[in-house]
Formats: sequence, C-alpha cells, structure tokens
Amino acid sequence: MTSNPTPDGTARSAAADATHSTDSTAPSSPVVIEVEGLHKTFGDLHVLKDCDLTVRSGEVAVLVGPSGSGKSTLLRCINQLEEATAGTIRIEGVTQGYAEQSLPDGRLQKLSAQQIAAQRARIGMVFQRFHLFPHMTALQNVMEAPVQVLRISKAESEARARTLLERVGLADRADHYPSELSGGQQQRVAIARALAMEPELMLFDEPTSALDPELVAEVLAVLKDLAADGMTMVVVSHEMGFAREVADQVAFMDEGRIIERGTPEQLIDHPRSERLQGFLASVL
Amino acid sequence: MSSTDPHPASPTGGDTPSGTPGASRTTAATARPADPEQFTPIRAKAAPRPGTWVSAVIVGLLVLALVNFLVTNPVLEWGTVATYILDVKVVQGVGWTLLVTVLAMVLGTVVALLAAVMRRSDNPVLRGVSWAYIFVFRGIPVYTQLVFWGLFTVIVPKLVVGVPFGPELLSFSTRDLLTAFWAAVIGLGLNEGAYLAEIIRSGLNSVDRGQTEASKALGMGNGKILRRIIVPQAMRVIVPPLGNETIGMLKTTSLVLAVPFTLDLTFATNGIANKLFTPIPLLIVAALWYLAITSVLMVGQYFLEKHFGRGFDDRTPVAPRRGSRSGRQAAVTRSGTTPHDPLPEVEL
Ligand SMILES: Nc1ncnc2c1ncn2[C@@H]1O[C@H](COP(=O)(O)OP(=O)(O)O)[C@@H](O)[C@H]1O
Ligand SMILES: [Mg+2]
Repeated sequence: MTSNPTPDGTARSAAADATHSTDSTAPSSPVVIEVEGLHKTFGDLHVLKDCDLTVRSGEVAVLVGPSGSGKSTLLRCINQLEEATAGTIRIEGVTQGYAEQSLPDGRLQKLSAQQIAAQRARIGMVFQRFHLFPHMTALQNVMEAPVQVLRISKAESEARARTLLERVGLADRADHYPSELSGGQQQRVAIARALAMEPELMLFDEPTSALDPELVAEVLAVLKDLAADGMTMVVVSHEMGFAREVADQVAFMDEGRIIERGTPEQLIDHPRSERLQGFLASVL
Repeated sequence: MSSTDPHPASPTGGDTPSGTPGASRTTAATARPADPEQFTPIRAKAAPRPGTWVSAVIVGLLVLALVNFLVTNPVLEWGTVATYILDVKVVQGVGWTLLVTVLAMVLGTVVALLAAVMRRSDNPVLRGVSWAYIFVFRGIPVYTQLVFWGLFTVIVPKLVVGVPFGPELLSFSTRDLLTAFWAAVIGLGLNEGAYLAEIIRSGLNSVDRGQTEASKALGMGNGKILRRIIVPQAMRVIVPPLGNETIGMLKTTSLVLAVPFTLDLTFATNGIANKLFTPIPLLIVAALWYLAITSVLMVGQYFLEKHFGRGFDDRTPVAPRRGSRSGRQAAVTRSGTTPHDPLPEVEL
C-alpha cells in the first residue's frame, strides 16, 4: 500500500475547504443542505448512524458506498420520503418536517402533510428506476406537477416542458410514452420532470445503475450540464470518472456511517480507510 | 485493454488448419450469396395431422345437427319470436334493463372506490367500516337484499333531519323518494359495490409503489396522487373484471322482480309468455336481447381497455399485450375476485 499523505481528520477538512476556495464554488456560497446527526432505524435495523452532510449552493456532492450502506435512505430522508429517527435536516436554513418553534413541553411540532408536500416540491429527485408515469407521454410527465402542484396554466407548463425536453435532448420524443423510450431516454425525461418544478436542489439515486452501459454517457452528460449550470446536487453514483470530473465533494458511506469525506482527489486517489480502498478496488 | 495486433493469436482456439485464418474466413464467406439481404425460404410439406380433420368433422356435424334442431323444431315458434322481438313492451323492457344496469354499476363503482380507498386508509375506523360493508353486502344473497330494499319504506317510513331528541328540521316520506326503480338500483348497486371494492382494491395495489414515491417527490398531495397517477393506472387492471361484472349485472337485473320492479326485460317477456301460454319463444326473445346488449357492452369494454391501456406495451412486465386473450384473462385472474367463468373473455 502507498503511504497516505493526508493528515488527520480535522486538518483534512480544512484541506478540503482550501481546495474548494480554488474551485469555482466559493466556500462562502450559502449552505443549501445541512444534515446533522441524522439517524434512521427500521425497527431494530439501524440504517443511518450519526450522518452529517453539508452541501453549499452550486456544489455537487457524490455519495459512494457499498450496496446497503444507507445511501438511498439518506437521500430519501432529505426529501422526507422517510422520516428521520433522530437529527435535523435543514434546506436553505429551513428545518424539514417540523416547525421551527418547538412546543412549550420541548417536543417538536410536526408539519402537516400539505406543508411537507410543499417542502418536497422544492427538491427534485431522480430514481434509479426512473418511475415515469407510464400512462402519460414524455411531455405530459413533465407538465404534470407544475400544473397540479404549482397551478401553472397548461399552455405555460407545456412551453416550459418542451424547453426542458429540448435541454435533455428529447424534443422529438415529447409525444412518446415511456414504454416507447430507451432507459437512457426515460431517465432524461425523469430529470426534465424534476427540473420542471424549478427545484433548489436535485437528488439523484444511482441514476445510471439501471441503464445499459452504452446509455450511461447520455445521462451523465445531462448531469454534467446541470452541474455546470450551478445546480446544487447530491448524486449517489459509482461512476468514479463522473465523480472525479464533476464532484466538489465525495462522501463514502459504509454500514450507515459517512466514514470519509473530501474532494474527489482526496477520496478517490488517496483513500485513507481500508474499507474505502477495498470499495474503490471493486468499482474502478 | 484492447489489443492493437491486427491478427490476434488464433481467435478460433488454435485448431485452425495451417494457412492464414483470414483466408479460410474469406472462403467461407464467398460460399454464400453475395447479398446478405437475399435468402431462399424453406419449402416444406406440412406434417400429417389426422386429428385435426377428424375433430373438425365431428364438431362440424354436431353444429349442423344443432342448427337443424333450432330451425326445424316447431316448439321454438320462430314466427312468435319474430312477432315479439320488437314488441313495445319488450323494447321498453330492454331500455329499463339497460338503465338499471348502468345506474347500478355507476353506483357500485363509486361506492366501491370509496370502500377501496377507505380500506387502504390509516384510519382504523374507516378501514373497519369498509370491511363491514364488504362483509355484509357480499355475504347476503342479492335476492334477499332486493326484497329488503323493496320493504325499506315499510321499515323506515320517514327520514328526519334534525337535532337528535330536539326539533325536526326536515322530514321526508321514504315512500315518495324510494320508488321501486330506485330500490332496484340501490339494491343492485350496493351489492355490486361490495364485489367491485375488492377488484378496485387489488387494482390500486397493482400500481408500483415507485409511482407514489415519484409523485410525492414532485410535491403532489395524496388526493392528487390517487386521482391523477394511481387510479388511471389501476383502471387497466380493473376494467376487464369490471366488464365481466357489468355483464353479470345485466343478467342479475332479471331478479328485480323481488323488489318488485316490473318493467325490465325478463318481466316483460314473462308477462307476454303467460298471456299467450307460449313460454319458449319468449325465452328466446329475452335471450337474444340479452346477447345483443352483452355485445354492445363488450364493444364498450374494448374501447375502455384501449383507453386505459395507453402507454403500456409488451416491454412493461406487468402489462400484457393489449387485447390478447391471455393478457385480459391474466388481468381478470390477478384481481382474484371474479367468480370463475369458463368463457370469460371473447375476442372482438
Ligand atoms: N423501508 C425499509 N424497511 C426496512 N429496511 C429498509 C427499508 N429501506 C431500506 N432498508 C434497509 O436499509 C439498509 C440501507 O438501504 P439503502 O439505503 O437502500 O442502501 P443503499 O442505497 O446504500 O444500497 C439496507 O439494509 C436495507 O435493507
Ligand atoms: Mg440504493
């Protein structure tokens, strides 16, 4: 094994910040996602253990880790598809799922279903298996939420949807049903569908894992384009080339813990923990 | 990774005869027609299948015998059939039967959707009420239920809206509201709803959970998700058994005499038959009309299936090929609530 030049943990995060300052993203840009001390249990199963994650505006954070390490659960907690067991999640400073003011007896006040839906509407999510609405065309998929949730007029929503489909290179597939599209095309429609809500940030859960190898590039190209456009993104992905090229920070999860965090160079080229070294050996 | 050597060592595994492997491949290629688009189709004589012929002849003879029996048997009185098939009473009976069928199915579907959604709710009271409704209305014979609805005005003569133990604000005489017609519709509709609730519930459950998640992630509320995303997809599974149920309902309307509602097709043909003392031709009249209505309903079902099948094709694993017998039957079977019917599906 090559000796690791990275100093201890605290010095390391300072080093990470130093790297960021030379990046296009200034360290002073506002924090968008702030996860603190997050725990999640399913019955006796302790799936997330004391996870912290900070993502600044315009940053791309790539989450890596072996299957079952809790990456999807972390993303799902961020947009409240799962309810956190302990810890806090703030998006642009706003606590997710609970009122800012706690009750006189010290308990938190849960938000109503509508309030939670409104918080979710500002976070775009893209799934491994696309989950397009099969009974709607690509265009209708993209138009649906703006019309139903934001109450935008159909004409305006359609115009926006067409622009977005063009952006992901699918202008000519607008009237196709998902079953008539390739996996890569479906995933690009799913990205356009999420973008139609004009989210503050986007979460991607292994967006290319369900794709045939030759279709991965077209989806990654859309992600890169989004990143270049300044979208704040958390991407679960094992595409190390993509991480190296686009990520501002990489976090390695194992058994529910974020055990290493830093720039792509630090994590991918100079992994400190044996687990990360082993993991990288298996995906590179 | 890939070798840059234009002649990789022995690609065929080393058993190539001496000489360059490239040359032998060229020879093999020239042995075939130059144009790969060209081919000679296989010409072959069919294998003998005596069984096919024997069975065709036997069944054909049986069909001929049946036709001969139907045409020549004087008891069937085709002349009487022809006289009465367009009789005013009969045609009106067809109209009433259709009306009762459609209204009862609409009521049943609405009640069933409510019951199915309540059954999926987090609220234990709603779940319990839904379960009890299905238990009671599915468990009592429809004939008994129809008699009950006929007697409803006797059991509950007056409906009162007001403060309990206090003043009456409004009161209705049920006799004025609940005519025999509506008693028939409600009786059939509520009974049907109990069956349809299970069909609709399994239809709703058949929609992938990822659909709900994706909709939630877009900020949609539960009502919108149900209406815009889940129900339209569930309909693909629901419509085939719903078609069966509608045809079943058409036939069940012949029981509305129990209310008693006396304008439907069966009552009309029975009335004429009793007057003429010729039951058989009027049974045929009724049978022909029921078949005619069934055909119309099947056409309606075909278009509904086409509508709700949009966007689904062979590539989607849960979606069988539209209109294929096995596909529709699979959908019926999947719902698991339709009674076994040996001829449930006919290709249009
Ligand atoms: N709804 C659930 N109920 C019970 N266990 C779950 C649930 N969702 C995820 N898990 C478990 O949590 C662990 C982490 O899962 P996940 O977040 O999907 O991992 P990853 O995305 O890193 O592969 C796994 O052991 C998984 O079985
Ligand atoms: Mg996962």
